[in-house]
Amino acid sequence: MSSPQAVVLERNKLVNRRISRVLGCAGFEVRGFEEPEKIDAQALGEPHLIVGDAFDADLMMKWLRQVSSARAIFYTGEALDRLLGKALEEPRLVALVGRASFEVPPREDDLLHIARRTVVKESAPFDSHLAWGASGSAYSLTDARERDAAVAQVMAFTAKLGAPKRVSEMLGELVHELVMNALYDAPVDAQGHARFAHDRKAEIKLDTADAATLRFASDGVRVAVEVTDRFGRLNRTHVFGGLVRALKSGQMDTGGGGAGLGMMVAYRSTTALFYDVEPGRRTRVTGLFDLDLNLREFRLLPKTIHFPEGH
Amino acid sequence: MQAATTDPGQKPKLRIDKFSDGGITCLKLAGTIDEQFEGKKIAAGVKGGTLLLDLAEIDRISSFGIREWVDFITGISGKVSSLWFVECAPKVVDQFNMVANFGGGGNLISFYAPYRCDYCDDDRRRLVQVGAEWEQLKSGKLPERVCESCGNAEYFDEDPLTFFSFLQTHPPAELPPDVAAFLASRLNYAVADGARKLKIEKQIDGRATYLKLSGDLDGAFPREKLAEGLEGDVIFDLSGIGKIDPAGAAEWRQLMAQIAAPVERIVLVGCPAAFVERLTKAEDLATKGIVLTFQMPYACPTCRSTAAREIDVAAHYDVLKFATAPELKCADCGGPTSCAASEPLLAHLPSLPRPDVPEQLKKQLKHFQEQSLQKALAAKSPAAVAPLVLPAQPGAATGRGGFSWLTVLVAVGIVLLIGGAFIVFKGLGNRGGTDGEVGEKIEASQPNKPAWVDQTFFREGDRLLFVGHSTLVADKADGFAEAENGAMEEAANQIGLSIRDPLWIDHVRSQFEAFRTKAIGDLEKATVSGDAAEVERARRAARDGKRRVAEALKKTSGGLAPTERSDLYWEKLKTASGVKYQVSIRYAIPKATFEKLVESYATPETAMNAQAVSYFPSLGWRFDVSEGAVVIKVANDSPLRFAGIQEEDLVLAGMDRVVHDARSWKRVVEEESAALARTGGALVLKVKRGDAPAIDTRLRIAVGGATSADPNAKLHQTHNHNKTGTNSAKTKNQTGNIWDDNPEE
Repeated sequence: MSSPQAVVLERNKLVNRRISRVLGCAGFEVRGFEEPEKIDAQALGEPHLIVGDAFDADLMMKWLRQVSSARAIFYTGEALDRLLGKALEEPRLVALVGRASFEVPPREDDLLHIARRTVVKESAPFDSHLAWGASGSAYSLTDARERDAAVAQVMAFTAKLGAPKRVSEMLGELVHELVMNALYDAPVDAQGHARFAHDRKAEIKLDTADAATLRFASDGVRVAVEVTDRFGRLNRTHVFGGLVRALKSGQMDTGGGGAGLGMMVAYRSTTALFYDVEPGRRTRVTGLFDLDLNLREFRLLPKTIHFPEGH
Repeated sequence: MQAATTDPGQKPKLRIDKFSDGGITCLKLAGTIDEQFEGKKIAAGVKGGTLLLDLAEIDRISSFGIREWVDFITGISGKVSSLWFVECAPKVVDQFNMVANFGGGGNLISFYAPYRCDYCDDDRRRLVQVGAEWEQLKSGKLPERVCESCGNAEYFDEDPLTFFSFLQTHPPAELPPDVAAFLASRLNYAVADGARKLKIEKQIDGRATYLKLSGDLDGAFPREKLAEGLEGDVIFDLSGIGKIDPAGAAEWRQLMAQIAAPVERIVLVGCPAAFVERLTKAEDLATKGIVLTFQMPYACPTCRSTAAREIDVAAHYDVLKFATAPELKCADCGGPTSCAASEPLLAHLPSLPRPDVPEQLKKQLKHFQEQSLQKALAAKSPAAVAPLVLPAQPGAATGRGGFSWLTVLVAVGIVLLIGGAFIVFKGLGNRGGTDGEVGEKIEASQPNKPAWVDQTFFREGDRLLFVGHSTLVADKADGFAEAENGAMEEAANQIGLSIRDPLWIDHVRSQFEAFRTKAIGDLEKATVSGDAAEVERARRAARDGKRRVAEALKKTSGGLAPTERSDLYWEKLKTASGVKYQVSIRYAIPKATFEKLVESYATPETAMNAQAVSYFPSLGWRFDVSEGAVVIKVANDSPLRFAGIQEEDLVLAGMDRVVHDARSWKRVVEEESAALARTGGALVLKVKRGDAPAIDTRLRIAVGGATSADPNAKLHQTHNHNKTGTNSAKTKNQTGNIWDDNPEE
């Protein structure tokens, strides 16, 4: 059985080579192009994966329309804002990957995870986001009181790592948002109707089987936070639609009820967000934060969002 | 990976402390704002006046907390006369930047900027005064600082472009001296130096001189200037005094000594607790000083509030002489309070002399204070009715007929400005009615005035609520009609503000906006001026305008306008000119219905390559018409150009068929032109342009449909119409074709 094909569009030869190497390790047979505008349909063939700088986004979107089996990963050294609309529009755009500058390649983890995910259909295990030997905790959460206690645990955990108070608070907010979604928005009854989404002030208690799972851990360089529910209701529109709405005018309008605010909080609190949804079965959201960054650097760093297609 | 269970034990997530002094209230919030933050409920407990929000100790805000917060801000915005944010945590500044309307119409006075020292691996906060450091903030730069621990540089730990983005569109506002004094003295906040400078207000009545001091008592105290020419009875109103420093105290003592000889009495009123403690000893008061009233802090455990209460020394002398504070009930909840005065202050109370002030002087004092208040209100009023300039909403949807809650919130912003004026108006009304009458409540529809009465427009769940108020009227039924029309007018106004189509704004809103603003502004100005005739004239104009708008809304809304009020409140007042009524009525419109209304008025219909929208009710401010269609675009190749039709024309009928709205405009024009294409003839349209009377204009249609100008056509393209809200002499005198003088003729 032949390996899946991938094409890389990158003008910088060294960066191109490194990305190709990483994709090769994800099981792809990779062809790198340094002059994307000169590629014709014949040269392109029918790749499984197209990877390139968002500078060539329009060209890659065109190719996605031509090659129905292809998926795409866009990387960029700029803010993701203008790419979110494309991710909303095109489900086969499976990841937007930030890189620190145009001179450096995207982080290998960010590429490798999503590249592998496009062929094996399995999400990366939580531990894979951190170096081996990392420490952390896991909680099963069924109500708001447990959520608040868990938030406090996460904040205490990051404070103990020596993270600034503002980083602890920010990660506390992230956990609060993700767990709120898992407790209030995700659960549905047997008919598929949302059980609690209409009233977030309600005191609820989920059955153990419906409990949300929170995991957080750190290897001393990165903090990873993951929240899982068993309902699998999150979709691309929730994520990218919310972010598009939030970032379009620079300020979030809460007039329509504020849908998307939670997505915005998650987006602003992480360096990378990995969404993995099996419709009707599971939603898993993993957020990463890099402890080596000060907040000024963090704000300026382009973020990464993975949302594998099909959901 | 270690599994664990959570500890369900919880501390209160958010603590709210309240401090108040007269019309100024400060709410200090500390902790987490999440879904448990009851925005509307907390807003309902906020009274009018000036509100300060201290958000220094907010550590987390969840997305649902933001929604609740916006409800809180919306709720208080209609009530308070001004809103100020002080010492906001960086987390809060993030929200200002991220969330539209997070601060409502409030002003950001100061915030904490995050700084970091990499050597010490430590984060710190530095208080930034927006006014004082505006130039640096505007350029997006904050200077590096020296780390207090290691002496190395510490840097601003945020992206300035993002962190100061809110401030780029919200320049600093000047903090009123009384608010600055409250912050500086009562709560020990840092405020910009300029805001604390002492201001002196002087009134003279016969042999009594009233001097109201507001600001800090420091070395710059103008003792000589103050002392000059003082004689007779001198009253110092010290309620606005802020911080007192040693140099200021020395200057004050010298003043007392200096004026002791020439004056008969020195009466001190409204003395802050710190002033009483430091500057009312026997030697400070000399022989002629008397403390008539002073302020002491009282804490209410139920409301978690601390308020400065005025103590009348004569009335409580028998208690004060035992170094004991009088027992007072909480002004908000009526529950018991405890005096939070310092021990030295309480110990000093017995030494205060029993005041012996003639009744005449007390009357004069009351008069002085009323004058002072009115002056302050009048000074605030023009700002409240200042031109409504809204900041541009970057990237806001401008689609045709688009509706969004953002639009409604922008609309709320406008209402708040008008609402500010309304509060001033009500403030005067409570003291003296809309025309200077004193009104004492003798009956009301319910024991307590509901909170919604102080608003004009707000949102509650999925409903929008519109409140109308009557003026003081002798007949209750008139009050009902006035208030009902007011609420309907407000609904129409909000619908208009929610329509974002540029063509609609250019050709419909522009026709009535200035008229509306003028009518409401005239009433505000007349109210402040106190001229009864002027008030009556302005009141009649505003009342008639609202009535016409309300009638048009009922007629053109296709049954979507509310028919039954959702609540009402009235008061029967005893005034100098007899018993009068003041009525407030509330209408509710479901969000979905409101959206439909916005769409119905914004959606144009096209006929003969010209677009028209339905007559908009607010045009009633200008025209005595209640239906029709307003032309918003005439294509270059539109045959209607032959008839002289242009943008902003109001089409009332076609071939004697009434044009009710945009749809009937399309139907009438298309059906009649099709019929004429078979027989040939002239399409006659009845059109009103600006303030001129409506006239008939014609378009010749030949058999087969070819169109041409009719020699009898009366309309011609023009740009002379009047949008200023005042009738020019030219348009006033027109009786026939107002474009007869057009050069094209």
